[in-house]
Amino acid sequence: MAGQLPLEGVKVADFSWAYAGPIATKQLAIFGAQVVKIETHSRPDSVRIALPFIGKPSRNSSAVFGNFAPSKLSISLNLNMPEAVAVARRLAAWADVVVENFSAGQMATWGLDYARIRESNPGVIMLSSSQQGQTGPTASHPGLGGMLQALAGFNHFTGYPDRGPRGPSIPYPDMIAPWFSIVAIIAALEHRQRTGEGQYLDLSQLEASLQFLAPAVLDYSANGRAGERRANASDEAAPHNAYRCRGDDRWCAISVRSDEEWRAFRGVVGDPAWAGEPRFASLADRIEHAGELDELVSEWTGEREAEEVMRLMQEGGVPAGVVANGRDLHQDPQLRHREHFAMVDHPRMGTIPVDAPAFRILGTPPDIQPSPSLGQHNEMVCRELLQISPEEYQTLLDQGIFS
Amino acid sequence: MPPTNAAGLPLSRYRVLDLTNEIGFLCGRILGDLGADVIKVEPPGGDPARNHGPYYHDDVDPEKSLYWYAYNYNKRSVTLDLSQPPGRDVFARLAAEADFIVETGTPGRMEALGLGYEELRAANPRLLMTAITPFGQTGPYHEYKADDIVAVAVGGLMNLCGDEDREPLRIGVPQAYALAGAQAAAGTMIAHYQRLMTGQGAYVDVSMQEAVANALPATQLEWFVSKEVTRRGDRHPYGGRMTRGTFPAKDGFVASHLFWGVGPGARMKGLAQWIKDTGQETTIGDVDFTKVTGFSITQEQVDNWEEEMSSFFSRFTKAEIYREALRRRAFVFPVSTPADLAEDPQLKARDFFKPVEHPDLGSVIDYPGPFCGFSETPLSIRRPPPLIGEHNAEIYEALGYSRQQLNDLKKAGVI
Repeated sequence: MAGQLPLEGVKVADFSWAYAGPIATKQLAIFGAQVVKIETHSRPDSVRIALPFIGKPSRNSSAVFGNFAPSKLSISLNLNMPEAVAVARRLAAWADVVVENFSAGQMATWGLDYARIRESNPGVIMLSSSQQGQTGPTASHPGLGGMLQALAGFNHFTGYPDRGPRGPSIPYPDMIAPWFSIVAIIAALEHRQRTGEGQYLDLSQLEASLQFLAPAVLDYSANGRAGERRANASDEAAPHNAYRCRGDDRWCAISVRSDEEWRAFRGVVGDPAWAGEPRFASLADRIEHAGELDELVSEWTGEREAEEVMRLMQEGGVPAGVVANGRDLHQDPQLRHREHFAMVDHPRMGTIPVDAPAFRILGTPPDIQPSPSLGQHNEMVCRELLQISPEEYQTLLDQGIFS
Repeated sequence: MPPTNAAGLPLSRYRVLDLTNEIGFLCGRILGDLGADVIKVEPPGGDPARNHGPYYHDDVDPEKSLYWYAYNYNKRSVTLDLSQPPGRDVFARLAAEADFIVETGTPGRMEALGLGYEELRAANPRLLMTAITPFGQTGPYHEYKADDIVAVAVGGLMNLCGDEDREPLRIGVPQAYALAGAQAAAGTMIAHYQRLMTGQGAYVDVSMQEAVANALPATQLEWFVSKEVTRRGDRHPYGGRMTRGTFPAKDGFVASHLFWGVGPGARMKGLAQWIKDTGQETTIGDVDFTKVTGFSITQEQVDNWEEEMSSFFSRFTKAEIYREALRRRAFVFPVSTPADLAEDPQLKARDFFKPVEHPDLGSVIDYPGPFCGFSETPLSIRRPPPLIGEHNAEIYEALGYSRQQLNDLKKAGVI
């Protein structure tokens, strides 16, 4: 029996789409906030049509959407129609929190900018999560998360010295912004509770990303150092790399920092003669000869399964971990123990694994319900949440605003 | 410098005890940014996480770690040796008045010290305690160790980065720590909101491995649905073909992309017209990409278009390219270096970087500014990162210790 969820009673009008907004509102929804996702048939949320689908591809069968929209309600509004926009405004007036991540300025075209929402909802909290913020010369410049990742500088620090910049093949800033969005929204809720005052939250995904690169920013400011691509080399550890293991594209990361860890490492690999050579005596020596060390370590790991390397190292006290792919994540004993993948029964997709948050609030598990089909809650949202009469709802239906 | 006074900020009524190393100190800083009085509780000699570079002027000194600075401003610092009983008594007194504790000890360490959540809660039922560890408090790996490279490996991020013919890569600046700290802050705030409603504290157990896994939008689903293992690579699948995301410029690299299909194809217009306008011989300029599909083109065609983009961008500097891309709304961005960021027109217009005075260094360092703009309760860097034990006297005296008692504790090596 779940008790009361932490955010029960918090009402969220969620205009967000793709990743950055929906990942934030997912956490709010599974912890009890009532999140109404405002969508449209004519231009569905790109995640509704993101691979992979389960079963026949449709707007209601993307597993990715299933992962990012659990426990949300869905209303479909054709925002090209003034009557639909009127319903959207009523939702904004109903909400404690309005969330959106369109290009800067888009909400204003519907009269749904903060200034106008506040006219009917003076205490509203509105969070706009955009690539580069709501103000400034590039506020409305179009781009994708993968490109913003480059603008923020992640790629500059990532890659092999003899090749160009690299970066993870995901829209990484979209994966950073949500956590700051949640923090900002709850802080604003507390401020409102105390003062009655709402506020506007302008979250720039670029600025959020730079929190994750802050040490490099300081290194440039204080030392004039711009950084470079160094593959997996470190100034503080060696061995410090991903090492090839037995099998097809199998790797295990190993990191040896202190002399104590080096002694432990030597024990795990059976203390071969090379490990006792003077070129590997101190941490500074090991870092200086990291390339040679990597080759020797690879000879040892290459004869073993990645899982075995991880286990032997960890049991010996050396930080090590399999470079996990999707299969490894599902088979990882620790993620299984944590029930990281919540298996949710979805009416159309069957059972799908939804990522649980990295945090467990003891005694208060999240309530992870299936993602909604597009427009599944049109009537419920209008009738129960907005108190629209049966007659008026029929009129809205006849006008076709939910199309 | 803005005032150190946090009055008016959302968390200004609260005190946080921050016992974190690198895998959690962003969490405490976020609470500090929001106005909480964050007290970093360091062992005598300082938080071992102060021993991470880079360092100010490369001077390897625990009070000059730029890595530590970046995630420990808006905090005060006391030293306290929790391995000694008198130190634990001092801590229990601090904890009795605290609202939050954030800690990164190995699982069971706080309990072994008699400072576990259950003990502390007995004296302070409102206490909210957040514990951040590599793998979580329980489970088969709970005693395993992980630094950044191991965490990005086991969480799956590393496998998405690098080339197929080479080893997987980590991002060159630690990300697992930041992912853990930021997600811990989100979980802490959700539990805090619950406390506002119920008056009851909570215990929040955070796993760095899961924090990394939560940064991947589809990897686990690709395996679950189609038993496909996502391969890393310089090129990635797009619309049925393989495409690339970065191109050389005259003085570095830019990020751009080919787009095709009914909707996305329109994104090529800005770039196509731009290439035409420069007079370069072009095929991109003559294609209607909204009518192109992955099936209607060969990989060779994709390669040729990318080659054309490559030779086009390599004629210009990153700054020239970005300036023109902004004007034409073309999907092109620089691969920024820190020097580029310092001159970025947007960050400048938004006054993002904040000079922070370090009196001990006699120097001013530019820091990234707030993580979010708050219209009514704007955040700021109110105080620089503390020196080791900088606030021992003011905090312990306020707690009721006399000068004499503090001297005794100091002699005993407790503070």
